[in-house]
Amino acid sequence: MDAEFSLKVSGGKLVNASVVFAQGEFVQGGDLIIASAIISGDFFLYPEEKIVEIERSLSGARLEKKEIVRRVMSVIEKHKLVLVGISPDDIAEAVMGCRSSDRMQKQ
Amino acid sequence: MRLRLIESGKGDAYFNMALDEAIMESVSKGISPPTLRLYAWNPPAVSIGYFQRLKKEVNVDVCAEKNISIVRRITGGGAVYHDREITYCFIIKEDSGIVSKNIIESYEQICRPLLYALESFGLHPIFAPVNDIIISGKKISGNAQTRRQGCILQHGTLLFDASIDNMFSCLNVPVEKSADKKVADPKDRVTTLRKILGSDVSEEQLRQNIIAGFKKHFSSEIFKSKASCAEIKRASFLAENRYKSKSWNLLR
Repeated sequence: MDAEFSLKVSGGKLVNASVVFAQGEFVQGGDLIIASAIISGDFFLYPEEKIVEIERSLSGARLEKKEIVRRVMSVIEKHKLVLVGISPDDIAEAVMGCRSSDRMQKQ
Repeated sequence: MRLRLIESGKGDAYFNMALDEAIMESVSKGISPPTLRLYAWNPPAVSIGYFQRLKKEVNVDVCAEKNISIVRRITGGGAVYHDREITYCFIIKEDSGIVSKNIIESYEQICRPLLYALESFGLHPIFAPVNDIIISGKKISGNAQTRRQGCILQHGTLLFDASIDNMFSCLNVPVEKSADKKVADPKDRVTTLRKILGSDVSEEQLRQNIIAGFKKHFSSEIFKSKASCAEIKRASFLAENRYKSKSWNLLR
């Protein structure tokens, strides 16, 4: 299954998360596991190409806000990235928004 | 600072984006001086930000029907409709000491010449962080910056007489984007210089005001020039091999 969610940050930019979940794989407690994610929108990231590192870092993550923020922050710190118009928290919010069942589409 | 001014007129979307990049490469290598380029688009085009998904942002069918090109930029930010507007591109080395190393500050700094250009018409524009200029609450200019190869490249648009209807027939504005706006209809959140000042104002006046703004705010000695043969050659290569390619434009 996959899902998509957009978030407009108040006074900031729009961030969209498009997430594919791992098929049939659930951790204890029933959390979903992210197979892959695309983070898009009208924000800024310096350098731009590193967006794929942020996306890759989410593969295998539990759909859990703290874990997503931690993974995004880790990439930002490792590569000394500058994110403008949205925050790691906003990326996590957008990804978490994919959880709501009305936005999920079974394939 | 000696600032090279290139007024390259109308070009297609792919070459326009390619020439900005080619100039940046040349400035980066120290071959070309800091540069201000002013240009326009023919045919009209939509440019999308580096992180945007083309099919989500752009009504591809309408663009095809109206012969409107679509191109992805190397800069972030939002989708822009380019027609009857002036686009600028300002390129300078990061270590020039002229533009702030702080990205947020530098957006405003490079937008000051545009504010000056609009103020010269007696208007009261406001810089709206991160990257917009508004007049009476309506957007008249969007700007986007990248930092690569030791250079700052900021390009942006000043809407002169663009058709707002055409603009919004090409762009898919997500409903979420209106979430924190007081005015719900996106068409009511955009304006043009002609809408404000009527037909008395000319595009040439606006262009001259922009040039004067850069001269004033960057203490520049401005000299007119053309893009070098090497820059044109490199831009032609980038236009064909990157900006026209599906792999680039459908990157996300």
